[in-house]
Amino acid sequence: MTQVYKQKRAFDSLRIWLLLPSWVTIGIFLLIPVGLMLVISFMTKEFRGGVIWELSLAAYDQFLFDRGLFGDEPPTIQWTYIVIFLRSIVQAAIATFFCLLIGFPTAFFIATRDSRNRTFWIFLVTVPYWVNLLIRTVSLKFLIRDNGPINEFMISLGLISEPLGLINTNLAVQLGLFYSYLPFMVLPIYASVERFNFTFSEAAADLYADKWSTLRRIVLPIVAPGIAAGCILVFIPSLGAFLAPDLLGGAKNFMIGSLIEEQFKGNAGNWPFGAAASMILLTMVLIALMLYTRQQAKSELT
Amino acid sequence: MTLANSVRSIPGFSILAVLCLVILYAPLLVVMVYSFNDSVSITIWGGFSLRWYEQIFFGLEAEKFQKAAWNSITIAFMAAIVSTTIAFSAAVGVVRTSPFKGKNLNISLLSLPIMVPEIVTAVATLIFFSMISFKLGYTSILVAHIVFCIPFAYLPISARIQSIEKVYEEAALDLYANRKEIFRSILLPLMLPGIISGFLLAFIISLDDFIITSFVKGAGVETLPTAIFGSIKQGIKPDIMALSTLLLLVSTLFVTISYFLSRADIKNKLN
Amino acid sequence: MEESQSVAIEFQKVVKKFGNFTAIHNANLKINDNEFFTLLGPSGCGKTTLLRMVAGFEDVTEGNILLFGQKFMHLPPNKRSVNTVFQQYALFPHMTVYENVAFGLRMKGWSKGNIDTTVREMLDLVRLTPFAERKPNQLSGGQQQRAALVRAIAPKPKVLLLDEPLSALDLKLRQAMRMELKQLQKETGITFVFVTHDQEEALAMSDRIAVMSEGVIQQIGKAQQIYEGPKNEIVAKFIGETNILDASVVGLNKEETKYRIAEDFIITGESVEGLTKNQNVKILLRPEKIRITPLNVNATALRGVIEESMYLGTDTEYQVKVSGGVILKIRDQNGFERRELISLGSHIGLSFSKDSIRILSS
Repeated sequence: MTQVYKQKRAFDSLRIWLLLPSWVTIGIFLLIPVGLMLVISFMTKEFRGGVIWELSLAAYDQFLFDRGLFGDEPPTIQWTYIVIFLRSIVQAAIATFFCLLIGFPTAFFIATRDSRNRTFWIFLVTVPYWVNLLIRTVSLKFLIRDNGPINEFMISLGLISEPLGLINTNLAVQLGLFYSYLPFMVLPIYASVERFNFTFSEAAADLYADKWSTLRRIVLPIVAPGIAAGCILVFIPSLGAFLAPDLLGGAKNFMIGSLIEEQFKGNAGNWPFGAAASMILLTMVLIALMLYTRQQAKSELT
Repeated sequence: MTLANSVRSIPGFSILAVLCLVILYAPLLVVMVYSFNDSVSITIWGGFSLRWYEQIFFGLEAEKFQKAAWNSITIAFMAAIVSTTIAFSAAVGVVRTSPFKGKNLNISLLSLPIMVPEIVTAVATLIFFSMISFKLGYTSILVAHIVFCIPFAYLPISARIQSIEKVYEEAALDLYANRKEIFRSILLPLMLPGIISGFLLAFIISLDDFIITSFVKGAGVETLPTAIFGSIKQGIKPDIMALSTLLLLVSTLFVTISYFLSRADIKNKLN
Repeated sequence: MEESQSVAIEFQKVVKKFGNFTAIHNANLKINDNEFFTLLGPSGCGKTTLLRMVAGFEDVTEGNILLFGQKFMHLPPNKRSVNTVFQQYALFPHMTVYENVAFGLRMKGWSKGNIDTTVREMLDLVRLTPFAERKPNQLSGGQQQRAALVRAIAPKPKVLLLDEPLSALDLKLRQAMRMELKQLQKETGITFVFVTHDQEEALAMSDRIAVMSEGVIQQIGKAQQIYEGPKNEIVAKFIGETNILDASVVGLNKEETKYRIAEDFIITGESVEGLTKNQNVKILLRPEKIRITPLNVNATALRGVIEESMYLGTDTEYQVKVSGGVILKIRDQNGFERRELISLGSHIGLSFSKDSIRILSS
């Protein structure tokens, strides 16, 4: 039998070479480092930063238990770090909630404009997303601090006599997270509402639904994947955020990010402990992502 | 032309949308305004002045900022070029070939740098570099930036490549084009807008990065964000506001370019 | 005459499988040189797959395809001297009309001068010269269609493959393009292989038609042969409308055959070879071959009652109940002898000539 030309796409035979650079880069500079970090989290700390290559569960033990200054007392539950993790989760959840509260109406409003206005509104929402996060956080700090414009303005109007004392509170951190990641909520919701076929809502209106029940029973279920995407995009970076808690929250309102950072700064650090905390954070994020993809897969089936 | 009782117009949503914009812009605008404040005390308005801009270019810290800016821009430029190239090659390999086993795994791998929280990447990279005794500094920052810019460059490029239908490839093949010609005359021109937005996004993301950079920069090497972060530890000074305003304008310029690129693209859209 | 013509494309026992699914079952087909040949069938029947195998976008699972007697299945698409007009045109969006038409010639390595002359000739041929510098999205649907057509013709392929090229156009334009396509085929002398699911299109344009269904070529022939003499029920149902009646042979002689459809519903047709008495057959009778007559003209004529009527402009379609409860579809032309619509419930007589019925032995 004669040779038959095997049908294939033009770049099939080059595929391995096309993919190789990304495998190498991400593999060497991300996968191996994360693996190494996992290993380090089971090593013994060296007192001036760095590690001693001796297997040890000390990092994880320190996370959960208090064994006194010299490590010889009976273990009691160590709340400090657990509280920091719980606080991070709560802070991230609150920030996500408020982003949704403002983000959904905004996205919905934009997606229902005509196409010319729509792109302009989206442009306006995207600009802050492209602006340096550090600068945005610093700007917010400047705005809300005790002798900042907001307080000065309200005092000069006689609305308040003392500064509000917003800075260095949990509220300031929530505000910072909310402010940092608000565009992440708007964009995916916008994308799904924009794809929404409004003849569905017309059909609902035709069948005697008022607009609130149309919104609740028709629009919301259909755009739910966009909402879920927005929530995950706000929640995950909020959980590991460093700038907002560090600049706006002060020492009392520590979150995971600051805790990890502290372990690698200067000589006071504890690398295995920092690695262990990072592993725990990474695990939490992966669980959130897994729940999310499972949910998305389920909603695609229906 | 929306009817009053249509679900398209829900009372209060417009107010919340405006509020959203106010929240997003107010801090930035306030900083911009105060960067032109002549007063040394940053909260009292003392008239219009460019003295803080003068200071960042010619003042005591000018050299430090210029060096940081140079580092930031050169790193962002190189990181964007390399990551865009890697992302482009991967996007052609994933999207422009027949379906293959491990396609989803490849896509996950490419988006991994976005999935892993920045602080975790920072920790892992620092540990890696110090274990292999790689000297922290300019090069280590560049390498770290290349890695986390890949998914940001990949997303717009692969979206674009996906929108180019297979039939254009077939048509070119039918009209006697070989693989090189298909790539050069058909695919590359059609992909170009995606490649440019991928590059711009990667550039901005690199320019923006603080956490990873601060972990892997070592002593003595600064980028703009780390230099600014160092300065504000002693309080927000007006020259920082001037510097922030300049950076803000650069970002706005970039997003405006990509906005017009995509608009031109919609006008010229593939049918 | 047919023997003297050379064969442009020959399918020899071609089989195409996609995994477990067989898209083409043992296709044997000869397409003559300089012929306008149509592959007709419902969507998913495998007609486009046949075309794509010739173009080189699908490989052949078994069998072979020859181009002017030569093997060419080993060649990639860009080495085959056949060109395709794609369903959605696939004009390169970033190139002008001129550049699109020139593309194939450029790839074949023609000289600049030759390319320019040919492109201008081609654009003239389909009246696109004023639009040479436009991008595809600045053209109307009909103009895009013509640009795609000359882009594929310009390299002077041995065979032109057209994959439902008219399906994206609206009705009026589609009808105008039919004429244009047919003319273009005559002028260029290139063999056209045209794929469509639109029977009217196929009947109007083709020299010959192959009717396909579920991956099988059901019948090959001229338009009239296929319409008047469908080989089987599938072809009969797909092309035009038809009454299909179950019957058994009750009388045979040299001149005619009698068939019984119901107790007192017996019809007479021309004699057909190979039938035996009491054999079960299917009778095909096109609705427009039946004539409505007044009741009293012929006492032996078939009679029936009008059950439904549908006014369609040029014709009116009636559903008539005849003896045995059988329903017949009838098309009555609203032509020269214009008359009132016949009201529901009217008793009418029916007649048709012996040679208008077709027998399929079941």
